[in-house]
Amino acid sequence: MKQAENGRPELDELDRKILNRIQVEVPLDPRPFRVLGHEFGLSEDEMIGRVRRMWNLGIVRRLGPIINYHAWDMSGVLVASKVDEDRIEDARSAVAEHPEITHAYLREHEWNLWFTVIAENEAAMDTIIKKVTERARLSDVKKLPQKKSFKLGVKFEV
Amino acid sequence: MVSDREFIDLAGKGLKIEAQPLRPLAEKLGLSQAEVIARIKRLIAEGKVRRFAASVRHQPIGFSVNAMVIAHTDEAHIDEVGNAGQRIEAVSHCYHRAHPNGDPWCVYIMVHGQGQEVVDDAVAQIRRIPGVREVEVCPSRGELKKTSLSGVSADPDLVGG
Repeated sequence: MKQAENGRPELDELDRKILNRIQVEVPLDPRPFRVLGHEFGLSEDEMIGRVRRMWNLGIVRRLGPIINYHAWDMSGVLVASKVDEDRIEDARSAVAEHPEITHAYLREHEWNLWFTVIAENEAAMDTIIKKVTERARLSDVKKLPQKKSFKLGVKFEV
Repeated sequence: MVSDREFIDLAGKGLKIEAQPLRPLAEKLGLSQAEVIARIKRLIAEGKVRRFAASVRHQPIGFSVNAMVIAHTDEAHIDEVGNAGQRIEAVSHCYHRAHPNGDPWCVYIMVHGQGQEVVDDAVAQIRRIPGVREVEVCPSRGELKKTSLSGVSADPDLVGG
C-alpha cells in the first residue's frame, strides 16, 4: 500500500470525493456501487475496489443505516471520570468489555477519561458505568446528559 | 413479520462492501431487497434512522488533532454561544452539557484539525464569542475505544470526536 511521507495512507482526489459522498449517503439501491460509479465515471468494479481499499486501510469502518438512538427509547450519556495513570490499561479492558460503550478518550484534564454509553434504559446504563468504575478503580464519575445539540450531521470535508 | 427493532438489530451490524450489500441481510430476514430498501426509507422518514451511509474514521486521513473545548457561559448566553461555536469551520459537534465540577452552563465544542494550528485557531475564535467567560481546552491523549455498538450503531454526535 502506498503511504505518504507522513505515514498516512495516500488518497487521491477521487478517493476524497468518494469519501465525502458516501459518509453523507450511500444510494439505497440493490447495486449502490453501480449507482455511485455512474456519478463518478467509474465502473461498478472500480468503485467497489476503491471503497474496499479504503475499508482495508481502516478509513471506511462501517456501511449501513446510522441509527438515531433517541428515537428507539434508548438512553445515551457522556461520562466524565478520573482514572489513575497506572489504571489506564484496566480502563482500556473495561471499556472494551462493554459493546454499549461506543467511544472512550483519554484527555489532558483533571477529568482524564471520557466515554459514552448507549443502553436500553437508564438502569442498564448505570450498571455498565458501575462495572467500569469498579474495574478501572475510577475515583470520580459524573454522567453529563446532553441538554441541547447545536449541530447534527456530518461536516467533514476530507 | 420482522419487527423494526429486529430489523435494525440485524441491519445495524453493518454490511459488506460488495456488489449487492443488502442481499445477505434480505436473505436472513426472508425479505426481498426492495422490501429492505423500503423499510430503511420508512425508518429514515420516521426519524429512527438518520441516514444510510458509510462511517468514516477521520484519524488516518489527517484529522489527527482533536480537542474537546468546554466554554463556560451563563443561562442568558447558552444558545448564542452554542450557535456561534457550531459555525466555526473545524467544529464537528457542539452541545450544552453540565461541567463535571458542577457549572450547568457549559457548551462542549468538539474541534478537529489537520494540524495543531487549525485547532488553535478554532480555540481562539471560541474565546472571542460574546458571553464566553472561561475556556477549557482538553486535548485528546488517545482513543481507548471507538466502535459502533453492535445492533445499534451510534452516531458520533453523542460524544463528538
